Amino acid sequence: MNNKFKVGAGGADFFQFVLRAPHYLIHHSIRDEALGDLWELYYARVSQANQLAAASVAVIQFCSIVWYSLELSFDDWLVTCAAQRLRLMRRCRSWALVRLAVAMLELFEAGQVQFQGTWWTASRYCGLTRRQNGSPKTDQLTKESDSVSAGVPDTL
Amino acid sequence: MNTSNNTVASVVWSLTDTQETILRTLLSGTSYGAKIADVICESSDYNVILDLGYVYKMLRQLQVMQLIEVASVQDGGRERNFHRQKHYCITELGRSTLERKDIFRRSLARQSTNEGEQEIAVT
Repeated sequence: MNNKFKVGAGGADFFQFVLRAPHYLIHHSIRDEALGDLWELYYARVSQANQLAAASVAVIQFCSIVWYSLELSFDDWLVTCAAQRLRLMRRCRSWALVRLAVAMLELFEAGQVQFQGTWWTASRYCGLTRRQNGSPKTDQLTKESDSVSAGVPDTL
Repeated sequence: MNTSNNTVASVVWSLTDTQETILRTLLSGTSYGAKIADVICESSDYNVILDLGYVYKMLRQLQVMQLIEVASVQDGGRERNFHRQKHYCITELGRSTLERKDIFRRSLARQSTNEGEQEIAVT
């Protein structure tokens, strides 16, 4: 932990970063074992062949490990994306339920308004017909229609 | 039981050749990445050379599929630059998957043999 790279530090820290580059390039799930196996194979080859050949083979294998680490990271990213999408779909589904509830409420309220309107129109119509018949006065009609509207229960 | 059968069946079809080869390598006992690659390379007379990175990717996928598990983690010495060594072993699901695959192959071979015999009888 002491040799961790610090951002904004000097050349020594940059050198440490270069030394720790393999650590950052390899996927965390395979990092330790892959680097360990790589060192083991390197030492085994050094004992069999010359150092340059062993180093070049180790570099090639390191590149392949980095490449497949990238693939693993990409797979992880895909899984994360899929999970997020699933969460989003669930949220959308719950939002759809909320929207459905609101729409039903609006429809219900619209129905109520329409009902009241119909009631009001009907009452006015009744009043008008009664006025056309010449029986009550306009003020009385309005009062009567208001009292009739007030009598409509809210729950309807 | 039915659920586990379904799991095995779904895993059987999603198993690639390399994954199956690695699984079969682990049938003989626990092993680690570089050794698995070496064993496959040697047993195929150096016809199949697996990249080390590819072996690790396959091992991780097999681990996610619960066909293998980490048997032990050993601290590495100087020859491993003090990096740990993970030994993998095959799980029961892995064994049953391989058995299922074998059964499928045998029945397929038997069916193709029967068809061949029928064709010979017709001619």
